[in-house]
Amino acid sequence: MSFSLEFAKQIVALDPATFDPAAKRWAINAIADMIGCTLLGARTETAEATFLSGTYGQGDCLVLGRKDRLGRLDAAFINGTAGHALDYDDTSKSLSGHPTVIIVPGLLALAETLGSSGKDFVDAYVVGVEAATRFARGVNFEHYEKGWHPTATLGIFGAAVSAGYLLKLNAQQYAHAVAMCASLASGVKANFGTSTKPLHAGIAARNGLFAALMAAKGVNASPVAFEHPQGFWEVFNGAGNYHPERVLKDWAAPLDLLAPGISIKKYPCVYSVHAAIDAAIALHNSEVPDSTEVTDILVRMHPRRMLPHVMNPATSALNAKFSLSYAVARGLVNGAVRLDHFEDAALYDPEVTRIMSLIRLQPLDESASDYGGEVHVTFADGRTVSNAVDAPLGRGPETPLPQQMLAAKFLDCAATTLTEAGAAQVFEMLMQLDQLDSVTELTAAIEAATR
Amino acid sequence: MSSFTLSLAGLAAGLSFRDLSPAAIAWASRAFADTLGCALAGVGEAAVIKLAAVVPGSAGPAMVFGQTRRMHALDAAQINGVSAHALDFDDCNLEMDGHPSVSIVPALLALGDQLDCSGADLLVAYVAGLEAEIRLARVANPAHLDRGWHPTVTFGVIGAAVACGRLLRLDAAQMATAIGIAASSASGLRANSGTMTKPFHAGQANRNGLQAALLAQAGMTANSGVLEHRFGFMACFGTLAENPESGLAGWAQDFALLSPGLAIKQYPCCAFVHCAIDACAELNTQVKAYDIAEIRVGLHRKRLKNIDRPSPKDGLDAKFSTQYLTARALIDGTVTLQDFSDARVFDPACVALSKLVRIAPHDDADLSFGTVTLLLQDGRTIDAQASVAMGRGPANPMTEAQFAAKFLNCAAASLPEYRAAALLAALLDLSAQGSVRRLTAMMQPVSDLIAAQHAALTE
Repeated sequence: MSFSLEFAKQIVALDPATFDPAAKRWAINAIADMIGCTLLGARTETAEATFLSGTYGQGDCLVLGRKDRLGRLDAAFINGTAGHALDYDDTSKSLSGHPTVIIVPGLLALAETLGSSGKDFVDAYVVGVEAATRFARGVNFEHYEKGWHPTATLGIFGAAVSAGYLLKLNAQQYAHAVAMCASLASGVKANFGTSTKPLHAGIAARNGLFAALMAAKGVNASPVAFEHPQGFWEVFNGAGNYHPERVLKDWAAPLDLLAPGISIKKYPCVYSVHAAIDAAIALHNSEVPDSTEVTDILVRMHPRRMLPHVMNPATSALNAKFSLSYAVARGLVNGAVRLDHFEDAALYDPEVTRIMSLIRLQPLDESASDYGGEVHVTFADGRTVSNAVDAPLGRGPETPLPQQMLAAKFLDCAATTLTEAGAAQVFEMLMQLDQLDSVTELTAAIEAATR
Repeated sequence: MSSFTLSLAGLAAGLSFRDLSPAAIAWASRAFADTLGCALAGVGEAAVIKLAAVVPGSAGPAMVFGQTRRMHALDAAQINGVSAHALDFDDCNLEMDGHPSVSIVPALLALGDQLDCSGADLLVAYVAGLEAEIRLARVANPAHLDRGWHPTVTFGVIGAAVACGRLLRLDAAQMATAIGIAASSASGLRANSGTMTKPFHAGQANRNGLQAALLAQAGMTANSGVLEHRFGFMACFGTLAENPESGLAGWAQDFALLSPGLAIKQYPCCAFVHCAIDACAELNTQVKAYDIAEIRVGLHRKRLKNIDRPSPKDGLDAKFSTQYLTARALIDGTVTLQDFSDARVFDPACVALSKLVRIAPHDDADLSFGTVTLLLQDGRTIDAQASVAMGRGPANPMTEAQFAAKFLNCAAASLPEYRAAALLAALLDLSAQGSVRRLTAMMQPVSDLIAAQHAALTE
């Protein structure tokens, strides 16, 4: 049997009725987080550029963060680009990239045009993540090392499959859709560090949806698009660098969303200091509500995370994002690390600057948790308190994200484009996404809340 | 180190109409017209109809072949790209080992509609894009090709971006950005040949190339050394060439367009059989089919793998059947688009004649050489030879009458003959046309008939 058909049979065999509720909770959180990131990115220069000043005309599908509606493929393209514009969206270890930003934009646009239920939307997302991450197991990490951008070149398969779920494709149609994706996957790493990187997400989101729609129309692609001597494996990865048998194993046993799962970022700064921020915020919320009596701070992290680039001062919006001491000081002083903390005007807060000057850094043992962190605080009266975090909250199934932290990030992101009350209402709706009769209710609420 | 990408971008941005020789203008106009003819012929193909049912986002300024409704330029570029490639009747280029114009012309026409620019603007933009993609192919092949990419689209998307960038008058830095974005949109596997996905590749190249140019103009950024970067286009898609700048030598003097140049397909079937069809067309004037006792067709051994099909099962199969094609040409003196219906393919007289074909492989130095020898009932032997490399290029151009015959045969699928003839005259004098919108108005169907067919077929 051809690879694409075997892959398709694994997809069709997935039964959402048997999905672990914990996986669905992760799915809902990831979708909510993605929509927050898109609302944040909607008015960046990158997203403005992709809008091409009115080239597209009108359609039925909402462009998040704007009061514009476009055709489904155009909306998927712009929402995908906006969602990745600030690189604040979730990541997947299996994919070596960002899974949700390729899946949700196309799914949202398609669900709007079909009037799909929230439950089908969530199930489609889970199926799409499972397909993309299982596929990735067969080509990573060689794929990334060759120079491809897996978020786009592998994520596209998740986008096509999740859209295919809403379109109720059969196995043969799924096989054609993924074989078509083999001819649509694109994105080279040479463009990292430019606005073309988020564009990769938009292109892949669009093309994944496109492939599913075409397959539903009965368009075919080669049955041997992967294993042909000039097929996906050889062309993208090269001889000896791929393992199709790994792709077909262990589907939903458990779902990739539960092992190894995805990581949701909570703070808009470099990921390696997030555990230390968690510890600082925990202290703010318990023994250090007021930082003015603090006289000494010791931060301990794994030596592998103590990279030169996190030792930055915080003199510009950009280097502050890589400044460990700035982020920890913000956490301790404010109990939060928000987007507005990285605006130029916020960088010279006197108390934050004082706290930064007190921070000392010490490595943990090599055997300590890779992404863990500790914060030890000493007061003027000699008292000391401390907090230790093994892994940042939201890093995966072992350290789930408390809902209030997800809400805080969402509201922070959404504030860029939505009213405060509207954003809160949208978040409530998202948390009950699987109960919605139609996804159009969600987009209508977002549109109504758009400033 | 100087940047190959920036050098190419600078040359393409700087190309002007004054740089074009009369021969370059004539060939560019002819190739432009030929590509549009193919699109006019392709409108009824299943791939086009299915695509046109899925893609359109909204109305806009750009003409879509076979439809009365205009769309936004990106959707029009994509749909028209598929129309132009659906029959595989569009021009070829040996250095690309693919179809050079089909990825550029539909995108340019759509953008031309949006800007309502002149025919001369289109021509210089077309030449800039064509030269860019062929020169890139010159340095990136054969590694790129051997990996299994479909060069029509992987080089073509960059050609389209450069062409559209030139029409938008991007400066060198913006042009490099357009190339950077296009490199990150390039995709398309040879493995999908022979399926409906193949013509979609051409749609992607047009859409993504135009999109890259528009985004570069809108202020997006990309790596300005994307072609030569170690995680860039040449490295990811094949091998990083040693001295890519050599591919740019003779820019705006030795046009790739003219040497080795484009090959325009005279017959709507596999190009490897065209030499034998030409020979048969010549013999057709000398002999009647019922006088023939045996037909010996000599073709190069390397070319025979795919074209020895004694009993084609349908029209698509017949396009690769040397037996059918030579018999058809002996009877009619040519092969046209109408010759691939079941009625024509299974026409008893033609089937009987095709049974007389004997294929004889040769090992001549010229891969494109073909010979046809007829043994007649009365014992006489007559023969004819031809050499046709993928189509009719600068070395063996079609006559004006032959070219017009092809165009009108193609356009008949979309337009009445008097409109097609007027359109052809305008296209062959493209540099004198003041308004692309007026030109594309000539390409739209006069009645709603085709639109109605579309609606009926997509329900």
